[in-house]
Amino acid sequence: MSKLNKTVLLFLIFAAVAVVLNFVLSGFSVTPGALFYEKPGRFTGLISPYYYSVMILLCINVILSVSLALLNGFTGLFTMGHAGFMAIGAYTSASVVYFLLPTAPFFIQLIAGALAAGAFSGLVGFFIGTSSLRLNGDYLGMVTLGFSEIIRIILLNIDAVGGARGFSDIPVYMNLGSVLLITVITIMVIKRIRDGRLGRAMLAIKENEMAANMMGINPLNIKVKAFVISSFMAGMAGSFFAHSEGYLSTQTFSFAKSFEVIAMNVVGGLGSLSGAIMGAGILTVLPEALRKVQDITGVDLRMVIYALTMVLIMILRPQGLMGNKEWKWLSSK
Amino acid sequence: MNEFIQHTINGLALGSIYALVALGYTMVFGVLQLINFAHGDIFMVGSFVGLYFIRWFMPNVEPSLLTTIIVILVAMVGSATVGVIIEKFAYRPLRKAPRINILITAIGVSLLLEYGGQLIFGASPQFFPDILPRKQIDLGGAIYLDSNQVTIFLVSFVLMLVLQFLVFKTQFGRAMRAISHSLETANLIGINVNKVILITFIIGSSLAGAAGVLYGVAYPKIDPLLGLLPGLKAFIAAVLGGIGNVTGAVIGAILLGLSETYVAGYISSTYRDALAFLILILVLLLRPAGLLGTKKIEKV
Repeated sequence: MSKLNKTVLLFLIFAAVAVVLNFVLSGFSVTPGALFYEKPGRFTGLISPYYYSVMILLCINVILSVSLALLNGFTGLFTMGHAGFMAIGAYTSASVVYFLLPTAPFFIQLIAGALAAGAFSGLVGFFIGTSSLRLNGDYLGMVTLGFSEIIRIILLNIDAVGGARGFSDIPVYMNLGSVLLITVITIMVIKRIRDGRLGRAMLAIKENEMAANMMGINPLNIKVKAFVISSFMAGMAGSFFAHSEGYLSTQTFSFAKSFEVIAMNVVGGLGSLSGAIMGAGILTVLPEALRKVQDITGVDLRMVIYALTMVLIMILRPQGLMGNKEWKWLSSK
Repeated sequence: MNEFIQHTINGLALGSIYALVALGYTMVFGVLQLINFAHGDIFMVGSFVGLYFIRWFMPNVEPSLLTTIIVILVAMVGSATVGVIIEKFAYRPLRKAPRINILITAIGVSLLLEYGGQLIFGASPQFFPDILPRKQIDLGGAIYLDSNQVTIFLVSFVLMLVLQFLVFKTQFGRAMRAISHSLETANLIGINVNKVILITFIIGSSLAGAAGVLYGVAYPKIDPLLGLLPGLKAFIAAVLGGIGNVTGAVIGAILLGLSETYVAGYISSTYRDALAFLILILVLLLRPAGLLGTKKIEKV
């Protein structure tokens, strides 16, 4: 079977799994809304609404984490502005749906919102990328942090999207099956980029930019591509976030969020796709799991443990949990 | 015109506080090439050490300059202790690790101090007690010089003079400058690198601690996340002046303090925070070495 057919088949299998999952979680309902895009109106006891939303958050964090892995892990560009791209995506998608397509069917809203979010975020990523890529190391990190904060402050000052009050009444229509499907697609796309010509060029730049240049790779070109792809995906993640929460506040997208995504990459292992997924999983589930600890002790230890984990992993296992390894289904062979 | 002079005085006071914090950033960057993200939180620790010292040991004290100076000294010791602990347990084990790992550790330490601070001090803002007699000196034409601004100028000026002496006139200063040229070579010629780095952290952290108390006196509402923005802005000031350059940090901080006050006064206070980041981006894109820095050429 050719490679393309295999990919299509894999996609169909995942899509089927997603539909079946939606079918089961919505209490065996067969309306198109329940199967494809609606959040279940009632939960049938298979899963509690709380776990349902944690799972959606997990998927969004995985998308963010793997898209940052493309920049941080594979191309070696240390950026600290992922929250900014996510913010652009979230607000773009919410505005498109809220102002332009308020009466369109959910399905159209979902696709238009996500694509607009990705496209606009990618465009901003292109401009930030082309302007700041002659810097490297910490300086690039600082510039992207600066851009991300400026994006946040501009959003804070736009009254149409709520300003400091936050953007409320955004249509909610993310369901677990479709988010899961998109997450898997994102992971596969990044895996294929990594294993293809572009990905090898990225790795070469990360190892030694000067040598890669000598080999005929145009570092600037590859870096901008990495920037655009990564910000596109972060923007989409922002769109899903907006439509799963139904409410946006600029506070969510402060640099703490960027650091959180970086921490996911680092905990899992910089340069490993599996690590990025694992890190997103751990850092999403850990704070939620620690809520129980908070109930017992009465103090909010979650963020302290979270920060401590970050420091301890850096000191005791600097290469991250996965190191450079990949899970079998994500390895390049 | 009078309004402009008033803004200038306020801006200089704000800039002086930034300068004290920026000096710590720039010195640590000089010796370790590390953006010490936790530095803003050490500034916060200084503020809280001052607050709790007043609360526990001198609750009914008369506001006076002497009291303020005592509190500042105590806060300096407290912050320096935290700085030493961070250096020993978080940064020293990573001395040979890639820079990105140390940077991430610094972010982790910063988060740890913020949320640990919320755990210990509580998340809600607390009022910094009045330890300085509130007086306004009328300079004529509706221009006022506040007593806490005078104190800020005095204290930061004295501390900067002391620092200038330490860095340029002492054996330690010479060792520190040698390390900032090349850590390996300094090690080879017999400089105790770890000791000098530790002293650098002590000096930088105690300056931040002093700034923390001055900040509490000027803006008497403090909370554990207080260090975030002033910390970032002080870092931006250090970059503006040329990171690693002691004089540059002071100049950058004063410029940043002034321009922030002008923007808040004449344009809009909501864009005040954006200005600092805009300056950061412009400096890094147009002149990455900063105003006083020297350009490094990458050799193959």
